[in-house]
Amino acid sequence: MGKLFDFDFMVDAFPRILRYLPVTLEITFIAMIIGLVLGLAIALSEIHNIPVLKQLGQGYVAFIRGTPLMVLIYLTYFGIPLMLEGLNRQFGTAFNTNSIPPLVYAFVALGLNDAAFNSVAIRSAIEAVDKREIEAAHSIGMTALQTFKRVIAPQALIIAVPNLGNQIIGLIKGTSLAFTVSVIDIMASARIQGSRGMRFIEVYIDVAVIYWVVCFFTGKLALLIERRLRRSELTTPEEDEDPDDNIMKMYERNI
Amino acid sequence: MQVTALKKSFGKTVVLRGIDLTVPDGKVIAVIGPSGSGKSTFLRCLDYLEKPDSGTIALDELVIRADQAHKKDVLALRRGTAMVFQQFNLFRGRTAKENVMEGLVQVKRLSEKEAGEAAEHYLNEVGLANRMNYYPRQLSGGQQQRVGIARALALEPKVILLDEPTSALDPEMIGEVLVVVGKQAKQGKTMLIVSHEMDFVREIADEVVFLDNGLVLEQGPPRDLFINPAHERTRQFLARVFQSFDYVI
Repeated sequence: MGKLFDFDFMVDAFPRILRYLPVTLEITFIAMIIGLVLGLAIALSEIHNIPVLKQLGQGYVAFIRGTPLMVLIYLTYFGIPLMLEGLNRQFGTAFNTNSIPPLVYAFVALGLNDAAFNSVAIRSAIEAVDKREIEAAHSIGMTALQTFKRVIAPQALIIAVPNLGNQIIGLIKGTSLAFTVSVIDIMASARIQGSRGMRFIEVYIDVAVIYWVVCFFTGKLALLIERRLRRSELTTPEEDEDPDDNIMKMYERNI
Repeated sequence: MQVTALKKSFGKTVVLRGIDLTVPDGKVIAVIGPSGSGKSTFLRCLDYLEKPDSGTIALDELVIRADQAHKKDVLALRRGTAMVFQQFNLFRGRTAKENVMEGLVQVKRLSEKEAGEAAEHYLNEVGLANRMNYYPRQLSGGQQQRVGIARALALEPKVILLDEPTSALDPEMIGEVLVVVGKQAKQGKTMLIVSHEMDFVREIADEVVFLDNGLVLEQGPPRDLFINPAHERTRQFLARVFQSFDYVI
């Protein structure tokens, strides 16, 4: 009888799996960018009540929320080539649907998924910004764009960071489905290593450890960013050199 | 600044029924009236923080008709005025100095250095020379409001709008804010102030406007309006406001 658990196999496979971590991180990063940009666009169209775009955004969010990530990945995997083929037939374009690298499906599916959830986090963050500061910005004559850049965005970011951090962690874990469209990331590589030695629990422990560590540090990073952004709220009053605050002198002058 | 027939409703509730008011250069006009009379809404309309339904607002050569106001006009109006808010409305992520600098750098396009110097000058003006680098949450209410006043002054507006600047303050802090406002009034700043501090209004205002139910009921120098009001409604209001002093005497 073979070993119940092959510790050496687990240790040997680890570096071979870890080698593909950059692929996992690449998918995470690109999907995150897609998710943030599209999520912001959806959130803004909803906040500013832009007709058509707003309804499209809401429909989109509802659709994604009800679609399991696995299903969404297959929909893009089979849907994108179909769409391009349709364009080819309709407009005589020459997209080669076979030359699309599998990574692209992972970017698109995970990015689209992330965007829907980000849009909710971003919208609630923007809506939570203190209205009084926005009024102050208006009253000093800032344009809408200036108000957004100088007042709304910095505050909304602080509020959104914990939620967006969670989203990114979800995204990292979501990348583990990319192997289904033949992307070779740490998950796929774990499966390959596992089949090679016909030992599976060992490689899945390896891959779990990698996900744990990456997610742990991502969470820490989000916390660090939040703290850094909040520093104006966390500083304590400085030691007062002149506790008498010179308004008293003004009183005296006035009296 | 000249306001003509300004009207504003929230849904079915009519708040302003057509307000006419002139704020001459260098004068201090105080708006008083019972709560719900539309004082704050009126002031906020003048800075387009509320959009008036109809009427005109003229600030020197700039004339805005409420029903056809362009973004550009609204911006010009806001840049010609400055607002001091009841709740201070400071930028919480910025220090006192940065609060004052913000409009100078972003709107007036001054360099950081020029804006910094101006901010220091105006913070000194309101007695906060030694609080430049404090964040709003490190300041008392009275100090925060004085930062708000410095922020307004620094923009060198044609008219300063003050919306109940002492209503959110503890009694012991009201004095310091009034001293600062009074000093600016004496220096000839043009101001439109909504206030419940009747003694203060009596002292600094050139004209007092009594607003009731969305209309200017009466207007006159404080001496006349406080001592000899023309309308019964004004008399009732003043009697109620000054009632508290009877107990003291």
